Formats: sequence, structure tokens, C-alpha cells
Amino acid sequence: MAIINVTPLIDITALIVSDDVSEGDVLLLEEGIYFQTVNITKNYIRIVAKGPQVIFDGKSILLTAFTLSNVTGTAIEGINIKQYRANGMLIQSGSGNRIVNNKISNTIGNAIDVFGSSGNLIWKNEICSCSDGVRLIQGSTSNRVIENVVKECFDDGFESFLAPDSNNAFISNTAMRSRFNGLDIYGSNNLLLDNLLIDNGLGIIINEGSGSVAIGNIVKGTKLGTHFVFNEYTNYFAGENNILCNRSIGTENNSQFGIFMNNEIAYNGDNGIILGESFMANLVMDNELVCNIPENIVDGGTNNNFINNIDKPCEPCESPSDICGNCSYREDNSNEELKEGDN
Amino acid sequence: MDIKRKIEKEIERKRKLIEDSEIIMEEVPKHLRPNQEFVLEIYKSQLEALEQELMKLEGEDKLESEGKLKGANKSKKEDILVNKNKLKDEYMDLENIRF
Repeated sequence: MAIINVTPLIDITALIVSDDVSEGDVLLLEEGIYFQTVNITKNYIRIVAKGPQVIFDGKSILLTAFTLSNVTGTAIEGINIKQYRANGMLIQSGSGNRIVNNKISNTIGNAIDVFGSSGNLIWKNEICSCSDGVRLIQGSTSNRVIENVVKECFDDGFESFLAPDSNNAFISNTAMRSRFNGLDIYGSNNLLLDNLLIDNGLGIIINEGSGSVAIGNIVKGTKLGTHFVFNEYTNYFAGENNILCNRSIGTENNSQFGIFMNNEIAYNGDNGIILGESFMANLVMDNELVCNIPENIVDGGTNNNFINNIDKPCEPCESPSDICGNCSYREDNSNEELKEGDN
Repeated sequence: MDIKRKIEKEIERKRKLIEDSEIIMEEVPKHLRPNQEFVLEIYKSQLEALEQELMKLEGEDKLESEGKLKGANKSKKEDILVNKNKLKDEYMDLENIRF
């Protein structure tokens, strides 16, 4: 195994294909501007930026910066990617690849697209002005999407596309000012843990499947919808989520056999929690609902069990806008600020 | 979003990407073309997979409309989805207005 120095003048795809590069080798990229698409077709290749100024610029002509096709164990670390016409990174039928600490901006398609792939790690990437930040599609399962920051995307922050995209984990990610959903999650047994969703079109969408779990997420400042669970979804669990200062309903639930516990749903500009007609046999327990207008809880469902929920109306002359007017979000220390506020 | 519509939208998007890419390919420097063509082939195979998925769904819908498949809640669910989509579309329209 070797460390191979690479400059912007080298065709990296050709280098990888050649006998000069073996599985496990590290390609150490010198700083500079790379105008190329790298197609990786060999397993266990590690592509690492030598410094912060390793820039892949597609100049709105090239399709992707990195395509991982049918490979395992590739690592891509520390690369700046901008202005590609399709995706920043495309993982196609790959497994166990590691996409770490990259910056991706201004792609017309999704920043990171995972198509029919499993067990990949997408960690600590910063994404801005793309279509989706990270999308899992066409039977992508058991992927780990952790501590990524997605800003100002013109579709969703994070998405698992349809029912076959299951068993994925979205942990400690941030989605800010996406035009549509912060987390658009289809499929079963997905984990949504400690994500921060601020000023997106919608917050969390759960659809098509069963058994997903959402714990400790913060959803603030959404415009179109906040936390929406579609009917026919079963056995959804939502616990300790903070759903504050959103323009519409705090949680709109039409699923069955779910559990909603210890959530804080407050100061939303519509009802706190609505249980739709097809919402049945759910347990709603220990939630704190404060000053949602007009109602904190609206139960239109059947056979639901309510235990020990705190249902506080607004104080006299209090309205969500009084509280949320001061919730303007500061970009730099948002996480810290919100988490301190919780204590 | 309605699943069928979601796939249709993705197919539309992918088709446009492929068409545009084939046109733009002439602007790509010759030595970079093989890599672009490799990626383009991947997008074409993705498009094919999505089209098959859509055909499968349409086949199921057809069976359902003939009463061969159970779907008790489906029409109500689709209503909700359609309403959500409308809301999104209206929002998009508003977003596009510049004062």
C-alpha cells in the first residue's frame, strides 16, 4: 500500500485504473483547481486532500466530481466541490464507502446522491445551494448520515426517496432554509436522531413504511408544515423532539399504532398536535403542549390513549409571535444556543 | 408527495439532465469526454430503473382500479398528498414572485 501524490494535471480516473494504484492506496491531492470527473471503479481507494484548497470545479460543464460505481471502501476526504451539473458525489451500487468532511456547493442536482447503495458513511460534509443535500434512492439501505450541514438547498435537506430506502440513520445533521423538507423520510426503520431543522419549507415528513424513530430533533421556523406522518404508516416513535415556533401545525399525524412521548410542541402558529381521522391506537404521553393557536390538541382519531400530557394555553396577551419574534436564528452558534436553551 | 408523482418528477428531471448533457458534451474538452460518457451511462441506467418502477406502480394501480387489489385508505391518503402538493406549488409560485 502506498501514498501517491496527485496534482491537478493528473487524470485521476486513469491513474486509479492503472496498475500504479492498488486497493488500499492513498491518493494525496495537492492543493489547486481540478477540472475533471473522477470515476472510481477500484475498491478501497482513499482520496485525501492535502490542504483546504483542493478544489474540484465543474465549471457548469462536467456532470459529477466523484462517481463511485460498484465499489466498496472508498474514502473521499476534505475536497471542495462546486459547479457540477449533476451531483457532487454519486454512489451507484456501492457499499461501505466513506464521504467525509467535504464541502459541496452550487450543483444543479443533489450534492450527494446514493443510488441503490448500502452501508455508506456520509459524515461532516458542508453543503450549500444544491438540489437535495443528501438523497438516498432506489433501495439504499443502512447508510449513516451524520453531522452534515446543509444550507439553502432548493429541494430537501435530507431525503430517503421511497419505501425501499430503509434502515438508514440521520444523526446530528443540520438543515437550514431548504425550500422544501428538512428531512423527507420514506421507508421503514429509519432513525432520525438529534437533527436540527431550521427555517425550512417543511420539517419532518414520514411516509411509506413502518417503525421509524425520531428522537431529540429540533424543528423551528418551518413555513408549510412541521412534522407530518402520513396514514398507513405504522409503529412510528417520536420522543423528546422540540417543535417550536413554526408557522403551521406542530405535529400532524395520520398514522397507526405509534407512540408520541416527551415532545415539546409550543408556540406554533396553528394547532399543536392534530390526530387525523385515520390516526388510531396511538399512545400520546408526557408531551408538553404550550400556546399553540387555536388548540394544543385536536383529536379526530379513534381509540387513542392520552396520558399525562401538559396542555397549557397561552398566557393572557401572549401569542406565538411574541415568543418566536425573538427566536431569530443566528447561523454561527445556532446549535449551542438552542441546546443551552434546553437546559 | 404522491409516490407516482414523485417518481414521474424524478424521471422528468433525469431525462432533462441526459438531454442537456448530450448537447453540452460537444463543449466538453475531448480528453474529458470518456469520463462524462461513463457517468451519462449511469444516469441512463438510473432512468431505466425509475421507468420500470413507475410501470410497476401503474400496473398495480390498474389492478386496484379493477378491484383486484386492496387499498382501503388509499384515496383519502392521495387526497392529503394532493393537498400538500398544491400547498407546495402555491408556495413555489409565491417564491417566484419578485416585488
